[in-house]
Amino acid sequence: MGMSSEMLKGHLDAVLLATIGDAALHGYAIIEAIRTRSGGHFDLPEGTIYPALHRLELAGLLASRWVQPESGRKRRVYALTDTGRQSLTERRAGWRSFAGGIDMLLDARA
Amino acid sequence: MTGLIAAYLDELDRVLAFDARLSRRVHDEIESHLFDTAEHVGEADAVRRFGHPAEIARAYAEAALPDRLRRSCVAAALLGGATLLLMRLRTVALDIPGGSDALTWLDRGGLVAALLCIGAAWLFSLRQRIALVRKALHLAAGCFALSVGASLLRAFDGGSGDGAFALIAGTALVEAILVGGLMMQLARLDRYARRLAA
Repeated sequence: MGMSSEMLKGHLDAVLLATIGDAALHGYAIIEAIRTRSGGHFDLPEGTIYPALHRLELAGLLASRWVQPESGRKRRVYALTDTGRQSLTERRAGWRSFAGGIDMLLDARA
Repeated sequence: MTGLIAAYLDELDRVLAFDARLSRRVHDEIESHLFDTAEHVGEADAVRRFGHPAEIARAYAEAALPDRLRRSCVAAALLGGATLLLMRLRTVALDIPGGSDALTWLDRGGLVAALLCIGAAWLFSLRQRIALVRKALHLAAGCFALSVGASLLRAFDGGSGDGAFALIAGTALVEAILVGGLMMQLARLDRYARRLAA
């Protein structure tokens, strides 16, 4: 796990909410989506994702249900609740403000 | 199949034994994940990438802790409200005289102390101070037991009217069930604490 993954840990909840977005995804698909969308930068230890999903569900930001496809394994899929969507909007705004501030600091000339 | 996933899940079940419902949920979900991963990288890598079962169990305990603390406080608060109602019901229905004797003091003082402990537990739970929440709720359960015991003695001693015994026994049974429910919540909270301390 590199520095990127360490830095990501503090923003894991926002990343999970954003990755799920308007879809209903199971844990394996969420992990794959994070890996793919980040271009392989974020390769989190897989075991950290499921407790985080459980925490977000208990907090009312996610809802889950079991899905049994006609062929294949039974899977628990997660979707954002209304509270989760609202939380994601707030986290996005917070991140943009934070990232903008950091950009200004890092780009500033003495 | 090498049996690695089955062995991993057995170990996960063992370390998640502090919460049977959580253990069942986690088992099925992780099993599905591990078999998905194993199709691409094999069972050994699937298990290695997932992490050590003890760390996973600890992460789940941490994740579920705020909800567990809240449930314990809610159970205690419900017990407080129900006890207050049942005591009032006994006092009114049996026409129990008020007074300033030791039993009356224990009855009322115990209930007030229990409610104060629940309030303290709630405040501690907001800060996730699990040890203090447990202490406050254990103390609340003890105060409830004291108060309910004193209330029942007062009822037997001073109660009058038809069906007095049935009313006292019925309300005592309900209170015993409620206290039992709270003790079960506390026992589960204790198991969480042990897992987090492990």
